[in-house]
Amino acid sequence: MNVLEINQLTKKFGQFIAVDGVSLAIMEGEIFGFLGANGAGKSTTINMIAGLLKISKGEIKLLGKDLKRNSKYVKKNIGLVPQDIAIYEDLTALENVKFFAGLYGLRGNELNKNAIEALDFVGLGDKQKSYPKSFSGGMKRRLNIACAIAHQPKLIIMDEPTVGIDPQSRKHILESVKKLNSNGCTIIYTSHYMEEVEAICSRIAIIDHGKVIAEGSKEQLISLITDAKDIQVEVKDAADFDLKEVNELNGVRSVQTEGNVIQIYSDAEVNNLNEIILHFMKKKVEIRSLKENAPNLETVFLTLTGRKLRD
Amino acid sequence: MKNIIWMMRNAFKVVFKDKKNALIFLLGPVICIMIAVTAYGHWEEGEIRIGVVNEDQDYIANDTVKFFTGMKNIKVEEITQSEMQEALTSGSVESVIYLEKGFTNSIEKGNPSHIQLISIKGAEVTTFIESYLYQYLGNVLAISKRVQADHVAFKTAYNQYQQESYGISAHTVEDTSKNNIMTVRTMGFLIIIMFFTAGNLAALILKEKEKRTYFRLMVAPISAKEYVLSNAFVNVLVMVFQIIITIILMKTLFKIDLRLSFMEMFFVMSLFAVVTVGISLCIVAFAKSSAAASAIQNVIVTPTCMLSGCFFPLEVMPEVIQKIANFLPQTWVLETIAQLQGGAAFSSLYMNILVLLAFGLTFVLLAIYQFSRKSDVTVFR
Amino acid sequence: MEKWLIVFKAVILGFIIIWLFDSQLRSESLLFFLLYISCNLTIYLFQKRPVIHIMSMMTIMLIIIGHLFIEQIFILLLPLNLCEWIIKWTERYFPLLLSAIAPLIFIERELQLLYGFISVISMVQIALIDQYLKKEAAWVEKEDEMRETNDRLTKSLLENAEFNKQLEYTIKLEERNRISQEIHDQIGHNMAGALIQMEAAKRLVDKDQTKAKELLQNAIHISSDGIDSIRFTLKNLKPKTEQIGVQRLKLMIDDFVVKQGVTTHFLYKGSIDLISPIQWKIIIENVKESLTNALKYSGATKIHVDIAVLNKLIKVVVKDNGSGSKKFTKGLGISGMEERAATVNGKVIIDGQDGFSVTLLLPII
Repeated sequence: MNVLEINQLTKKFGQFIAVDGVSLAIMEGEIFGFLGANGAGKSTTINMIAGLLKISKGEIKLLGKDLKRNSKYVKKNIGLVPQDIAIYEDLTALENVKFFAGLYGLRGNELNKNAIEALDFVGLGDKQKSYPKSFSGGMKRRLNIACAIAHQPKLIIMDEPTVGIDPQSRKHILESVKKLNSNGCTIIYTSHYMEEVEAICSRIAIIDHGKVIAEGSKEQLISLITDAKDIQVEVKDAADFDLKEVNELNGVRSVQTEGNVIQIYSDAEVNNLNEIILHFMKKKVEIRSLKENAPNLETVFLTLTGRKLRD
Repeated sequence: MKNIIWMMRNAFKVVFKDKKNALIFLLGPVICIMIAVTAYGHWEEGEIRIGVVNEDQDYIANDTVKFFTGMKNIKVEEITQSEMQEALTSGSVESVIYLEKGFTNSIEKGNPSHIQLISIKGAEVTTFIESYLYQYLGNVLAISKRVQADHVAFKTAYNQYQQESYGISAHTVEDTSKNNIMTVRTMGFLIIIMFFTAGNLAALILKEKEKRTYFRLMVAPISAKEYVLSNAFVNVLVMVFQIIITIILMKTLFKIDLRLSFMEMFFVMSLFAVVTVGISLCIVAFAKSSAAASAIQNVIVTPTCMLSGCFFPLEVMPEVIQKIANFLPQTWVLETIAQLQGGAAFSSLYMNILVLLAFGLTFVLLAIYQFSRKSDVTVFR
Repeated sequence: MEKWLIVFKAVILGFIIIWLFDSQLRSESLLFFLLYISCNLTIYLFQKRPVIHIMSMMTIMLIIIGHLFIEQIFILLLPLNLCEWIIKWTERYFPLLLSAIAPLIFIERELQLLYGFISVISMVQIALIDQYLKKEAAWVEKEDEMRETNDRLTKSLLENAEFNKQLEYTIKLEERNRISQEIHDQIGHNMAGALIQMEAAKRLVDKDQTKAKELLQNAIHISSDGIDSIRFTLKNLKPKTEQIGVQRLKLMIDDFVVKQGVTTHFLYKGSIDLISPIQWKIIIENVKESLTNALKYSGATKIHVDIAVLNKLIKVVVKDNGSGSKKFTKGLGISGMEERAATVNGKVIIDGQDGFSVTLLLPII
């Protein structure tokens, strides 16, 4: 079942077209990644889904209901973790979460319970009474997430939730995203950190200049541009090494030498690194270094748009 | 409505968690009364202590001392000439009446002399004492002029006068104009405080936009209208609170006679609170950032308050300015209060009330108009 | 437009205030000003027609009441509001002028000149704004129309492509026919010859072995000739779409270089034989459009055209070294490219940050 359906979504700011005919369908239980450079139109798309921006053209449907006609219903079922930290510095962590959850109609015991749960979830259970002023960047980010999930939305949208924080908090956030997902939440995750998107997203849309230029799982996206990988093995002496035998290994397409470096060109989908190493060991060839250039999303992005994701 | 109350609760929390804010909002009224009282009302309060050096010790001198001793708000201390200097410099007395030998004699002759009024505080106190002295001695002198330096005739006439006049002398007359001015002035300062309160509270909208919490509110099932409305409600409530505090403090602690009923005062000022909220919402709607809003606020509020007579009476200003002042809502509030104090019936001032209502309506509509014009583009980044 | 009207109203209001400045301001006058502003704001606030009409009428009544009971001069506000309202009912400007001028009869002589002046200005301004709005509406309509025409043309272009496909198929059939003819004429003849020789050799093999060998040798020659000619025929006649596509693109680019004198590099890599004829058609048309764009807008001196066939995608980039443009409007050219690409599920990305580049992505079917 589709949680979110976007059809020909367009946003114009005067003459400038920020989002240009985006169509997407996000299924229940997915972690869907939006990948794109800054200003590609990710945030604009998200702001339209969250009801912050008027839609110039096209439609958005959440659980089959149109955003324009059922905006209250749609808003109730979405939790947005904004790109900027948006919390009250003068209120305690718990008060923050309670206030935002209260906007969705929760009151009394239910509110209290949900708020505490949300704080526990992001690992701030022991900081209920503390003020965000004393928090580190990572903790603020986590509180930022807690404020968006306490009302238990069906769809959670995370707009660059890991900008500018320490590795530990980043790890914690990524884990909680996965946990949220396994609890049954559908998640839209935007980032310009390739590794994060690769690590957690089940499907990814590459967005550039307001358009979805490619969409699919990581493997599908990579297979768009190539089905091969490059393995470079530097050995002590490649002079009388039999290349033919390597050629017969599983998945290998061609082999050639460049000085002491043996270049192996192989199917990307076949995991044959172990085999290759074993072969070298059997032949008693001393390996100096080994490098695998498997294509990743960065390569996909670079090939498709001619630009790097981050400058 | 539930959402509005929820947001109002939160706004109160956010505002009053900051102790500095709370103090400013609550102390504002006290400060304006203090300013008004110190600027316009110092002689209304307490007693004046004067010293008397009676070297004459004759009957008129003694009666003069008695006259002052009998005054309600004057405390008389008999001292000697040698003590006089020290008493004045130490401030234990504010001025000294020095009756030299021959004072009674000079009065009898109808040519007063041998009397000195010494003060280091200047004209304010001296004029006050002087006026009483002239009043008292004037009567006595009138007798002496009548009897043409006839010692015996003077004595009988004087004794007669003393016996009759004791009944009418020495009770303070209430000075209503002073009270009126002080009330209007206090309200003038309260208006300024209200403007800054309203400005600060309305600027919360911009601050929330800058801190991005506003967008989080907009993501929730809440409309921008509800949000602005909750802000306006909080604003009005805080100001109503300030108004009540001010009026109560004036009545109880400072014992200022308002010369109009509590309800009338409260109604007029509350009406003005709505105008104030309208103005500050306009400023917020037109400003691009909270810094810009407070700049616009300063540029608009201080000069208009000055023009409209919040700081000093309008009458002292040139006519052109008075005419300009007629276009300012503050003028109308102060005018209404002054007229009510002057005894005008509340129902006869319906025009003033209508004008104030129209001011409120205009500003609120202007704010709504401007808000609706820039509702979408602000989020673009 | 609203802005102009608001400014104009403010100017008239300011004029009236200055006019009245010498006399003591009456509270009625101030009340009138405030209500006048509020009424006008309400007109602009609500987009619904009935509300606009009611508020317009109320404003006009307010002005008349103000004129009759407060100050004569308030009538100066009337023409603008009147015109603004009446223009919503009528297309022609004559009633507008009439209605604005009409109250002239009722007002005092000393104000008549001023009133006439302001009503004429109001009329002219409202008429101008009205014209402008109508023109704008017409433009929008025209743009829509053009877009539609464009759509239709693209569609017919596609149908054209269908026709081309058909044509191509017929040509192929003809070619097949020719090939079979050739095979029949040439190879059939050879084979028959070889067969006869071999038949004779079979008969002679017992009697005259040398003769038989000779005949067999002959047959072998004839057969190998035949095979050669088969190879030759096939090689000559096989249609090579990729060659056709690349050649056409090259030709087009060369033509562009010669005519416009802009250095243009063309590069391709990957197995371009995977590109279908229809994709070639789209590629060529889009490249042509991009080149014209580069020439027209960016003042480029160097253009690169790159075609890369990836695993499941064809990527075509036309990039120039010109001025580029961070904000560009999507003209017909660009939307044409997008629509062409969309017919085969392709995408067009336009980037104006470093020079101007148009990237075309087409999936391999």
